[in-house]
This record gives sequence, C-alpha cells and structure tokens, in this order.
Amino acid sequence: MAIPVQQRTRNFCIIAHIDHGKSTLADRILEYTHTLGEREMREQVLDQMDLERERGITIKASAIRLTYRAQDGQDYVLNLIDTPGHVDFTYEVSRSLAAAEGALLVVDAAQGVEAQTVANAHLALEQGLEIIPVINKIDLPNASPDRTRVEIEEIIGLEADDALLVSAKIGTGVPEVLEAIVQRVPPPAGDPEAPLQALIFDSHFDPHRGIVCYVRVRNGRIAAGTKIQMMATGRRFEVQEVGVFGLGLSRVDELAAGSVGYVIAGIKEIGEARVGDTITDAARPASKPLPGYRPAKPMVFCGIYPSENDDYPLLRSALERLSLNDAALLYEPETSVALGFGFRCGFLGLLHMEIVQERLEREYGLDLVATAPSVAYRVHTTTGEVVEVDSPAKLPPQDRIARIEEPFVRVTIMTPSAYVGPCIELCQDRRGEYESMEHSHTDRVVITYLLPLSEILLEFFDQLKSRSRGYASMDYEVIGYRESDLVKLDVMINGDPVDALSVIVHKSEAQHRGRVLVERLRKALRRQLFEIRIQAALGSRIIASERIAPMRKNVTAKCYGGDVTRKRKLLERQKAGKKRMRQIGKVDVPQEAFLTVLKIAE
Amino acid sequence: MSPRKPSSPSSKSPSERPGDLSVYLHFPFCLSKCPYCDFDSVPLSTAGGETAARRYLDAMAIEMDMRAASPEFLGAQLATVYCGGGTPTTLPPEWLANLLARLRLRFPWAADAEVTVEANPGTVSQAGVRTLLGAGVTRISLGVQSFSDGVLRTLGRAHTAAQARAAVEAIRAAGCQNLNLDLIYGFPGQTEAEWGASLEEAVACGPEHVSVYALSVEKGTPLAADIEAGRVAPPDDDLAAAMYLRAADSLSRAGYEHYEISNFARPGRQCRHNRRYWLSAEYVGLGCSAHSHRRGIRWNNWGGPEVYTQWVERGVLPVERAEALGPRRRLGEMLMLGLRLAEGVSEQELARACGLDVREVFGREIARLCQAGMLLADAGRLRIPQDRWLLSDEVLSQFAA
Repeated sequence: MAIPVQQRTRNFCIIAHIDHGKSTLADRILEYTHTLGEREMREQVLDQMDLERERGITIKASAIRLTYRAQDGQDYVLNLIDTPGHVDFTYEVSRSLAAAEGALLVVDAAQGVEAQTVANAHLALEQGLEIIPVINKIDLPNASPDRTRVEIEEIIGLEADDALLVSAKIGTGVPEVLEAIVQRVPPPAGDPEAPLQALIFDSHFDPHRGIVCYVRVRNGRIAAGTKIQMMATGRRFEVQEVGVFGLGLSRVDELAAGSVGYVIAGIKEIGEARVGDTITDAARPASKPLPGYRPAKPMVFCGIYPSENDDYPLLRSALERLSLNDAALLYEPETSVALGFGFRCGFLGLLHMEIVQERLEREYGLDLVATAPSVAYRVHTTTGEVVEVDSPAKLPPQDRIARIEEPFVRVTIMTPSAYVGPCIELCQDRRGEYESMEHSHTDRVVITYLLPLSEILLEFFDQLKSRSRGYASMDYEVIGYRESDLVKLDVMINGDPVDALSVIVHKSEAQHRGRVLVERLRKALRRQLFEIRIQAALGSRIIASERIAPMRKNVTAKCYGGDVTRKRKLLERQKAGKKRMRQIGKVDVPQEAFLTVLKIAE
Repeated sequence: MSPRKPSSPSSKSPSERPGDLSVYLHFPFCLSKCPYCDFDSVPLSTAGGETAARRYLDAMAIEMDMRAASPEFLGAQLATVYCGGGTPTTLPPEWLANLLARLRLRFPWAADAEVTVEANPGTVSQAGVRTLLGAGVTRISLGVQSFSDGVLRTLGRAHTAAQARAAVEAIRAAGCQNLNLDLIYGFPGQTEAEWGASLEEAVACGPEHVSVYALSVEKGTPLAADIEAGRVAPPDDDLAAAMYLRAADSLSRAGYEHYEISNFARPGRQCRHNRRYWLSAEYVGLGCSAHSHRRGIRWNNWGGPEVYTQWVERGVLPVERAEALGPRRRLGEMLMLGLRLAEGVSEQELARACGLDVREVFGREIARLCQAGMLLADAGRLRIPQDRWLLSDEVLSQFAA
C-alpha cells in the first residue's frame, strides 16, 4: 500500500440533540465494519455506564478504532470519538471535537433541528471541522427529510443538499455514511517529526493502572519510555504504555501525529491529567500548548447529605471514588444545623448534578438529601476583596457587601411559532433580558435570552416543556458574571436565625420569597408548648412573619380495653419523631420542615 | 379546672390484694356500626345474627374453660369483671347472665367484685337490667355520648336523646346503684354550647361516674375517609381543648372527682376495673381482640368473631401475639399508664414492680419535665398536674422506648 497511514486515517465525532439516534448510528457503523463480533455487540456499545444506556445520553466521552475497506479498495483507520451529548459538558464536547477533523451531525427527520443540534454544530464549526449532515430516522412515518434539510440550512447555516438520508435503526444508508467519512473528512494534518503535542480529550481511572489518558496526537510521536510533561500543570511522568481503542485497550508501539489512542503513565490523580491539557515531550517540549484549555469550573452547587447520619463516611468514600473519574465534580465537607454532616458539591450543570446524585444513590446504595441547587456568587466587599460564595451561609454580613455579581447564561430556545408567547413569558418571569428572535421557513423560531443562571436552575426546563406542550428545546451557555441587586434573606425561628434556610435572592423577589418561606415553615412545623414566631428578614428588617399558636391538646382520651401495646407504640412513635428533630433554640424542627424549604422551588 | 387536691391513693375502695385478677369479656356485636368506631365490632345483623352470636359466646365459654384449667391461674380471685364491646346488651341478657354464671364456676370471686356491663340506649330495658343485676352485675356503663339529637345523628349513633333518658330511668328503676355515662366531645360541627348542655343533662341524670372522651379519628374508619376527602372538617384541637376544660369544670363543680384524664367519679365510685389497667395490674381478656396482662406477659387474641371462633373450636388458644415485658419496658408502661391518674405513680411501687430506679433510668427526663412544670415530684410520687393533662402525651412520650 503506497498511501501512508496518516493519509488513511479519519478522526470523526458524531454530534446530535438527545434522542436523535447518535448511539444507534454508532452501533450500526461498528457492525458494518465488523469491529465487534456478534457476541460483543451490545446495543449502544459506546455508552458504558448503565445510567448512560438507560437515559440514552452519553456522559463520558469514549473512542473506538475501526478499520474500513472503502470503495477505492484502500483500508482506512477510522477513529470514532464519542462526545457527551449535553450542554453541561460543552467544554468536554469541544475538547472531543478538537481531537477530530470531521463530525457527523445527526438530525432526527421527524423532530427536526433542536437546540442542542445548533449548539453542537456551532461548536464543531468553531473547531473548523468538516460537518456531514445526517438526516436520521427516515423510516418513521412522520419523517420529513425535506423540511429537516431546510432547517439545517436556515437555522444552522450549513449546506444540506448532500445530507445523507439514514435509518440507523434499520440500517439504511450506513455504507454511504462510511464512504462520506472517507471522502469528505480530511486526513489529519500534523508533523510526526515536530515536538510532541497530544491533546487529552478524556481520561478514566483504572484501579490497577491509574489514570488512562485519551489523547489525540497533533504533532510528534509518543511511545513507552517517553518522558512527558503536562503543559498546563507542569507535572512530569514517564509513559508506561500507549495504545489504541479496540473494544478495550490494545497496546501499540507508538502513537504518531494524527493518531487517536491512550497513554498510561503512572498518573494517580485525575487532576494531573486534565481534559484539554496538552502532553509534550519533556526532553523536547513544544513551544506552546494546543489552544482551548481551561480548568473545569463548577457552575451549580448543592448540599448533599446522607439521610442517615451514619452513612456520612460511605458518602465521603463514594464521592472520592466518583471524582476519580470526574474532574469536574468538586466537593467539600459542610455542616448544616438542619441536615447534619454532608458535602457542598459543585457541578458543571443541572444534568451533571442529577447524574452524580443518581450514581451515588444507585451505585453506592445511599439515601440522600439534596438541597435546592444554587450558583456561585461573586461578592465584592467594602474592603475591596472579591469572594466567591457558593452557599448563602458563606455570605459576608450585609454591611460588608459592596455589590454582588451572579453568573449569567445565554439561553437559546427553539420552539414552533405557536409557543413563542409562553416561552417569552417564562423568560421574562425569570428576570430575562431579550436578545434576539429568528424565524425560519419551517415554523421554527429561535429565541435567545440572557438570564441569571440561578433562574434556570429550578424547574425552568420543566416549565418550558409544559408551556410548549413538549415542543420547545433549549440550550444555554455561561457568558460570565454580571452585577445584580441581590440580597440575603434570613429565616428566624423565635428570633434565632436558621443558617441552613438562608437564601440569596433578587431584591425584587425578596418579599415574595420571604412570605413563601415562612408560610411553608408554618405548615411544616408542629405546634409546641409555646408560641412559635417564624420570620423572614433582610438584615434587621422583618419582611414576613407567621406565628404558630401553642399546642393546646396532645392527649390520648382512652386506653381501649387494656390494649396497652397500641398506646405504647403511639407514644414511641411520638418520641421517635422528636428524636429526628433538630433544635433551633427551644423549637423542635423536623427534618421534613427543612426539606420542604430547601428542596422545593416555588 | 378544679383546684381540689388529687385524692390520695389510700382513699380507694378496696386496694390491690394478692391474687387479684380482672376478666374482660368482649362482645363484638352492635345494632349498627358508628362511623368513627375502630373497635372489633360488627352489626349483629351482618355478623350472622343470633346464631353466629350464640356460636361466638360458646367459643368464649370454651376459652374461659381453657384459661381456668391452666395451673397458672391457681389462687387467682376475680376482683373485677368487665363486659365490653361492641354492645353486650345487643344480645339477650340471659346469655350474658349464663356466661357470668359460668365464670363464677370457673374462678373464685372476691365478695366485693365489681362487675360492669356496657350498654347502649335502645338496647336496655328494666327487665333486662334486672336480669343482669341478678347475675351479679354491679355497674352499668351507658354509651350516651350526647344529649343532642343533632350530634347523635352526626355521630351516626343508633339512638336518640329521649332513648338515652329512658335508658337511665330503666337502669335506675331496675335497682342499679352504680351507673356510668360515656360522653364524646370534639366532633366536627359540635359547638361548645351544645356540649355544655349535654354535660348539664348528664349531671342531672345523677350518675355515679362520667367518662368524657375526645373523639379521635382512627385510620380506616368511614370518618377518617370523610375527613380525608374533605367531606367532614377535621377535629379542631383548640375547640376540643376548650370542651375538655368545660367538662372538667362542670363535673368538678357537681361533685365529681377528676381522677383520671378522661374520668370523673363520685367519691368511692371510681371504676375499679379501669383503675387496674392504669395500675398495670393483671387481667385476662376473653373473646376476639381481647387483651391480657399476666405475669409479665401481654397477649392479645385474634380479631374478628369468626376467626376467633374458628381457633377456639379447633381447641387452640386464640392468641395472636404475646410479648414478655422486660423491666425497662414495664417501667415505661407503668409510667405511661399510671401518670394518667390524678394520684400519679409511686416511685417505690415502680421500683418494687420493675426492679429499676425510675430516677436512674429517666432522671434527665424527669428533671426536665419538672422544670417545665409538666410533672410534679413530691412525697415519693410522680404525677402530671391537672392543668397539664391536655398535654399529657408530651410527658408520657418521654417515657416511651
């Protein structure tokens, strides 16, 4: 074979809105290229976690190497790099895309272009990838490939005349997809003789071998024995093994420019092999790293507590284990009057948070209490300091606060025109700032709004879905911090502040939120032997209050016919109930009361 | 509430003697089922009528024989007997009389035994009561509940106020010297004025004893379902509290001792049978769902007359569950029951019965409760002050396990 391997290599990704068939198409490609034997072929091979398969989303990136004999008679090496499919993982997606030269943009022929289709396509365009539109699910009775083609052209701005028509489910069009990859995706550029530059686009923790880095070699070569340096962290390691992705890891002698593969180098912690970092040769370093690296920055925070205090050590070790594989998951111990010992956790976004909670519960059998998600505020103090505050409890006293900034996001909503009104109303209700609206010829409207991140944390997506009868889709990107008129709302029970219940809210909502909070608490607290006053306060100003009259009656009228056991059990239940309560001053507050306030949104 | 000092325990008519035993006989039949009732009782008509009742009473007689034949009851003498239900007087009085006669043959009786029969207006005649008195019954407990026809209707009771008055007259005319009236308060829609009137009328009937019970909503009853569905308002605790205080006031004024949370009696007329429950004394329950306490063991029979009857007819003791009480649990129970009485509990008695020093086990709780004024400790006794009885479960729950 005359053509060198680098010329016969194609690195590509598949990107899509959720449920548009990305994983199914990947499966068909693997089948068609006989990469896996029938026995190894499971549905959606690339989604390795149970959770991924169940939810139909990809959380971790992964990669697989295929060999394909094209119509020109040549054997090609195709590296399929799977990408996480959700906005929370935008950075991870962009790193995966940076490892490829081309992308299959999969669009559901019935659903058409959705918000994440647009977001992912734009990411791919930013990376300069060759995009091949694939219109999938053409077997569906309500498939409308022509309309989808128009949407791809009008909304994304991609030429779609040569979009491929595919049904990954029944296998139609798969050979054409493979031919298109070979013909339209350019072979990787890069100089094998230049100093080493390898992009880490993912990694996982192997209990026996440490961190396995997933890399795309841009320039140079890497082999066992190479002394490497991480360009962002400066850490040095010696490579023990390199290899490529079969179904599992298969060792090779070296990875040269253009290759996708893995590097094992005795790295113990995930923080030492960060996604986006560049590996270079310590003896002959590259002059600069590959562009685009930034450390993972959690945007959404919540407290996670074990329902049973005894489970605290188990929760801690579970978080340790999860974070081995998830550099974006931050956690630090936190103590709450209400909930006992737990952790303040930081996540990339809501889905990331949900996934971590679900994995903790499912894989570690933990019963968890999670507080309502919040964001990290940036507080400028009167002394000129800037403090990042991810929990209201950490907020400096009101008189030391000069101003507070909060993270803002640009939300892109795609909706049929009939639901534009309700979608706009929702954004307005959430302190949104209108940015733009674009109509296409297919009744699709793209609305963009700037919103405080905190406003989309609670039930925004659910609301959007319900107000649009399920038709609208959304995506968001963090655009930075902006000053907001934010205040700390405190809750007091009989004059004692309850730190666990403090919230940071926009000033215009303080009154309303205060009333809701005290009202909820009033309903959740049981009458006690004395009067209880519940107040919401901004600094020293009371903005809402409720009272609970003292209990007047708690008596069992009768012990029936000598049935002492029944009475005893009743009293035992009362006592057990009291044990589970936390004392705020003299007042017994049941955990449920905290939860009704902490968990639920408005 | 009455400022009267609680009566001292020594003033009780015959105090506990060694070997004293009580027997409870459960009659699970009624004229109709009240919507708030979760006792083991069924309308006689749907339970298979008198034939089924006959069979059930025969089973009770067999259980009585089995119990009496057991050597563990050697030396026991019956201090009190209580026929409850249901409504025992739904059945022909002769049947009760026969059962009591059999009980008299099986166990030695104390000469001054108290024998109570529960009755409901509408099932009581002068002749019937006379039959019962002839069989050794000394006390009738009449389920009047209210003297307002309106309230009686809401309660779903099968009788009227006029029938209640007639029943009292019949009972007295038959020669019964010891009468209790049961009253219920706190029913949805009931007013304080109405309750006051019922209390007045009850006092006017001149009973020796009055029990006033707050309506409690029990799971699984039609009343609970009505409240759940919003068809009936839930009981108002504040109103019920006011009604309770009203009862305590009226009855104390009329010369009744408020000797237990829900019970009032003329001097010397406290219900000795119920007192034995509160004193954690021994009793044997016969019949379905009946509870027993003997030699540190509590047990209860299977519920439902049919199930019960089937067990007994197979010659098996119809015990569903039994539990041996450890000293700690016994201590908790003695406090939980004894603190219902005005006289409270004797610390020495607790130590004797349980072998535990109550101060050692519950020292912290006692100190805290005393400090809060919820509990009084004097002269070696613990008691809940009467003005805190409405909150007594706050105290009692501290002594639960």
